[in-house]
Amino acid sequence: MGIRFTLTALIVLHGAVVFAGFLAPYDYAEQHRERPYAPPTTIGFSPWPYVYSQDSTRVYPIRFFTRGRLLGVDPGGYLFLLGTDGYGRDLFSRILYGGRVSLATGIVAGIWALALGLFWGLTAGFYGGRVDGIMMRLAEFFLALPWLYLLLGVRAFLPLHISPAEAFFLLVAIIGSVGWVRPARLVRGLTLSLAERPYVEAARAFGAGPLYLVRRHILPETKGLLLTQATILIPYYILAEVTLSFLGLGVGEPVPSWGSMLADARQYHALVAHFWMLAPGVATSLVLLGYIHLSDLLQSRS
Amino acid sequence: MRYVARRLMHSLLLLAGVSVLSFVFSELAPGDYYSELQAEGRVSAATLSALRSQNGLDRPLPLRYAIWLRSVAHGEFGYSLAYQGPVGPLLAQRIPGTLLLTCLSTGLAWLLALPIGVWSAANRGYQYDTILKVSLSILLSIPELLLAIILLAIAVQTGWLPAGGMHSPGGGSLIDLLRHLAIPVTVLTLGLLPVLIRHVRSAVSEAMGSAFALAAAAHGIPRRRLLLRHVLPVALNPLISLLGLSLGSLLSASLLVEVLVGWPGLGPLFLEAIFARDFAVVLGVVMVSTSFLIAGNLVADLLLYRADPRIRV
Amino acid sequence: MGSDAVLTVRGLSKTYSQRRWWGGTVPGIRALHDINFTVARGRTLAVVGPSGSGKTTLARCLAGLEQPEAGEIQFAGAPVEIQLIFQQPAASLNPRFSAAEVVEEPLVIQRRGSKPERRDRAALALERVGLSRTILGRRSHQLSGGERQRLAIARALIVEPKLIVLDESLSGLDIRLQEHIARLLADLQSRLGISYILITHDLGLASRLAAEIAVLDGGHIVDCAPPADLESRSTHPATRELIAASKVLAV
Repeated sequence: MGIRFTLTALIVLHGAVVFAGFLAPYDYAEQHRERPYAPPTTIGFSPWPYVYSQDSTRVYPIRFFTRGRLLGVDPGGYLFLLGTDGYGRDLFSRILYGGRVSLATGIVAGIWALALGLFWGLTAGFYGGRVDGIMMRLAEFFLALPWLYLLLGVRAFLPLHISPAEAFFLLVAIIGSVGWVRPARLVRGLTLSLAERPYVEAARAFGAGPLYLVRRHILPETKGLLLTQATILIPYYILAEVTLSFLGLGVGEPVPSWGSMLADARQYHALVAHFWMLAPGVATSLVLLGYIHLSDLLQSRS
Repeated sequence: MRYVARRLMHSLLLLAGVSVLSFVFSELAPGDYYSELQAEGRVSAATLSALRSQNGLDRPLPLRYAIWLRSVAHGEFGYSLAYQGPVGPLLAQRIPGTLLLTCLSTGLAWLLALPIGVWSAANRGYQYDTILKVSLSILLSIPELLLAIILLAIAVQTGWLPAGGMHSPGGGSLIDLLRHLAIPVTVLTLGLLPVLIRHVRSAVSEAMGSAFALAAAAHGIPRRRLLLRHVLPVALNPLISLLGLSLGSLLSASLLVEVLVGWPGLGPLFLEAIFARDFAVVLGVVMVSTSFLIAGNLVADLLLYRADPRIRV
Repeated sequence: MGSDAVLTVRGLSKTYSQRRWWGGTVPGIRALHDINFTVARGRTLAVVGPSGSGKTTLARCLAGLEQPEAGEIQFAGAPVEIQLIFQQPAASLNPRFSAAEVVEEPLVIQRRGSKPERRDRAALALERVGLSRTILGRRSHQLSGGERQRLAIARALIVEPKLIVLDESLSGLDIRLQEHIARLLADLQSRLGISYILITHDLGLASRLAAEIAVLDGGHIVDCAPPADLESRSTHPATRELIAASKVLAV
């Protein structure tokens, strides 16, 4: 299961989420109150795929490319690939839409944390001395708290009820504030060792300023490090978003997130009968597995 | 001794710094405990401002910080507006719960991780090791969230184990406690295990492949003795560091599991306070968790200092 | 400054001190103490001394990498026209850079000339050191030691310097390569009128290449004379030691 396979799998998963509007049979808010907690629809092949009506009398063929979506059935029939929740909302569609929030938050937060860490590490490592001392001491504060306490602590001091758009940016900023320190330290270490190299000194002797030296001689060497850190941080951040949403502190209704969908699954008595409610958890695990495996492969290569 | 003193100083300064930053940060927060009431509009503005000044919310920041410090010195840790009482006792009530969970899980996880990790390092590349590696990756990718929900659902369905809380009503026996502990400890341990085993495996592998180990093996020292007497002590070094590093994850995981299972630890208190915007409690929990983490790291550093003669300057 | 002098150094002193993170300083090693010398146009001055005598500090001060505490450096030209060539050619070139990027770098930093102009000057500089244009595209880590040494010189030449400081640049090379580079440098000197400061611990090399030798010991210049005079007339113990050592290893 090499890098190429894992990368492809991850791209497919992310792509599916990006194209949720097309791939999902239903809209994420579309309720079917008449079919709450419906089990995943059984699909027959004759050979054309079809689904039965509830009383098994009628047959609805699955239509492709209808109403702007890839899959659909005529009214009266239902295509719940992963069942429905308590409001009769199609789980498969909501997972695709919800994935947007979880994955986007994770990735954007990852980019933010890496950018911050890169800047911090470059500055501290390049200037060294006092600047380095002060910057790294400041960074230590972010390591002093357990990450979930830091996350929730920061979240605590922000307004409880915020619009989904605001929530997204807020979440990205907060989640990114946890975990930027390690990349910063690694970048700093790299920068410290590179800044002393003779070719950097030579460039300095030609009159090069800090920006040139960093851009031309140090930055290119950080790429590998940043990539590896990205594969480590992003799954962490996706999980952070899922956890926050689960606790009710993330992006709110009606926009679904894998976390808030899992919160719906907390009706334990119902859960055993309606185990498909765990699907968002499975989706999260799959994505995490992809990233973890990718980061293992990358780290064993270097 | 100087090293110990230096590290202690550093930890205390860090703690103080965190308290200042948290205080300043809470100041930047839009709204306070009474904001919800204000938004609802049922309470008049005059009453609200009277309440605020009564509770000292309108005093300048440095003064409030000084008051809070004094309160900490008295063991009160500030005043909870939601509970209408000092925060200190609330914390004291919940700390044992969190400590019990985290200590048990850590102990259990390390107890399992050490032998499995050593075995894995000794059997690298063999079939069973590969199976182990794959299983661990899968386990690592399953969020504790999901694991807890699944186990709780099973518990509810089968009735084998209680689905939450710390004590059954009327019960207080050890057996009862253990039954309540089963699910949270299992979830936390399973969450820790993959990371620990990986690190043990890599630390032991590295030690095994190092020059001195190869030399010892060339001298004919039998494998088991080699592992236990020569390799393990060296591998201990990075593992002690791991102890400190994994503490943060452990406390975070514990927070979540406590909330999920309804275990009376710091987690549920924290979450409640967040929703109630009871900043004094939020601050108190943040300080306690930070103290745990800092203390844990300090202990790990000191252990490292004693264990590794190379660090002594 | 004499009309013939390209560089005059007066009273140069440099001390390395350590700075604490809260701002205080701890006095440290005195690397250079009241250095005075002159380098004439188109001539070579050798600075000879054992390791630790301050040679590299002097080179770095001249190149602008260190700031002296006291003294002045008077140079008949712009700062960039003093170039420094390091001891290890391989380390002084970024391994990921192509040969073209290496040689053109001073121009890029100084923002001189357009891309084609820079490429032309790079090719010219390579020619001067006896390298062919074909290596322009190769990565610097793919080149041999001698090629890298010459590349470093080409890079120094591209800004048309008046003075080149060579910090032990010939020391790590095998004899043939050393001779080759020394002849190249002499050739460049006669054609382009470049002055050199040759920093080395090898008195024999200095005697052959330099018009004047300054002996550096513990941060002081203890002797300064043409090679022949140095041997016959110098009385300073450090100089005599160096002379004795070079005789033992004389080729």
